[in-house]
Formats: sequence, C-alpha cells, structure tokens
Amino acid sequence: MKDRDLIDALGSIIRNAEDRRFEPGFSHRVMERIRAETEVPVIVLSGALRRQFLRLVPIAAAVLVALSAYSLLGLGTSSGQSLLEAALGLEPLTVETAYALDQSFSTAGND
Amino acid sequence: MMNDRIPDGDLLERARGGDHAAFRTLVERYEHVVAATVIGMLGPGAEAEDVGQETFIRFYAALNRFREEASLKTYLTRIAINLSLNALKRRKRFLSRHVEGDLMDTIQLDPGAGPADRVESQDVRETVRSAIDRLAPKQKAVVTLRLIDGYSTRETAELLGVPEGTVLSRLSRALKRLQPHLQPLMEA
Repeated sequence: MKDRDLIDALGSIIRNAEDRRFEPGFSHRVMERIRAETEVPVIVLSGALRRQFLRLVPIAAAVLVALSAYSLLGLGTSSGQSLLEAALGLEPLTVETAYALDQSFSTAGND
Repeated sequence: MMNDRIPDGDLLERARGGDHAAFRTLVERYEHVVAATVIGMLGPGAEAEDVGQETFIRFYAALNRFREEASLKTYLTRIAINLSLNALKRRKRFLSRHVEGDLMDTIQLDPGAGPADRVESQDVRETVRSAIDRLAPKQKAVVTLRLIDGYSTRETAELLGVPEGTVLSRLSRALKRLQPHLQPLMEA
C-alpha cells in the first residue's frame, strides 16, 4: 500500500473511531471560567471597597465638622489666625509660643 | 445565539471591546476545531475538556495581540496543540512518578503481542485510542494534524514550527507504529 493510501485509510479509521466533540455546554463553561478568572475578583474587590468607602465617608465628614467647630469655638480667630488655622486647631505662632515649645521639648529631654 | 453569518473579524472587534456574547459565538464556531485537536492528542475526557477550555482562555487573553493575517482556525489549533503537548508531558511525569516501571511500560510502550487477536474483543474506539496512545507526543501531534485535522504537510510543519522533512519522517514512523494495530480494522 502506498503512503498516500495508507494515510487516507488510517486517517479515515481514526477520524471515524472517536466522537471528537466536547460535552454540550462547552462554550458556557468557557465563558464561566473567563468570568471567574478575569472579572469576578475585580468586581468583588471594587464592590467591597466601594461599600466600605461609602460607609466611612459620612462618619469621617461628621468627625471633621465636629472637630473644626470645636476648634473654632474653643480658640476663636481673635489672635490673628486665619479661619483655616483656627479650624485645624493650630496654636497661634508667636515668639512666646515658640519658646514655650522649645522649653517643653527640653523638659521632656531631661526626663 | 448570535448570527453565524457575522464575519470573524467583526466578532473579534466586538470581543475586544468587551462583548462576551461575541466571544462566545467565536467559541461556538471553533470549538469543534479545538475538540478535534485536543481529543485527537489526549483522548476524550476531563483532561481534553480542560485543555480545550484553556485554549480559549489563552485566546481571550491574547485578543488584542491576535493579528488577523493568520486564520483563527490555525491560531487556535496552534494553541491547542501546544497545550496538548504540555498536558502529555505532565501525564508522562505523573506516570513516571506514580506508576511502577513495568506497569508504565505496559501502559505506554509495549504494543502487546498479537493486536489482531484482540481486536474482536475490543471496541474499535478503544483499539484506535490505544494505538494512538502508544505514539510519542511529537508523532501524535503530526498524526492529529495530518490525519485527523486534515492539514497538509506544509501547514502541519508551520503549526509545529518544524521543517516539512521532519513532519514526513515523524509521520512515517507513526504510520509504521499504527499500522499493525489498525490493520485488522483496515481489513474489516
């Protein structure tokens, strides 16, 4: 038998012997794996982060407003501070406060 | 299901834009091509299904790199054949680790005495699968592409990245090995 005929004969037997198809629903299983391997972790992570963020935003905003109000009411803006400095609760910067800070550091160092 | 007459190029473009339905249509359109290759190489079963899925997942990951000068069928066949060869290597490693030497010889190498005598008691499918499984992986790849998928010698050489002469010599050795096992079926 010539090679060509042998190839045809064996090829025909091999081709006809097995059902070379995947089980039904193959494309669905492929798409599920693609979703599982590419998209789902990102969606879950970003969704979880977004929920946490949205939960914390109003709390953080309320704390910020409360602290700013406390600083403004407690210190006032009479000592030449800007509104922002007062809201942030910063001490007015004068020569006396600078010396006072220096002394408090020295005392802490001696302890 | 999306219209079968939509050209591959359009589906590819839509799939690149994140259209899963378009990609799914491509999977449905080419799953028989991938199935013929991986089942030809590995035999039917879970391993072939897994390699088939992996072929399309690799293709999905490479969508933006795929240039349409190559036909999609050829491109998928190349991925499928490479993944199947890897699976055969893994299978060989597994057998060499977990199966006793003598038994492994029986499973992998020993063609057994008098295959013709056993044909009557075996299903044709089992006979063919058993004959193919005795081939070396590289011979199996050539047989799958040439005899099952119907690629020419030149196309097979291109797919495997080897010269045509190598394809012909592997095919010749594979045929010599297959013939005694399949002869009874040829005469039937």
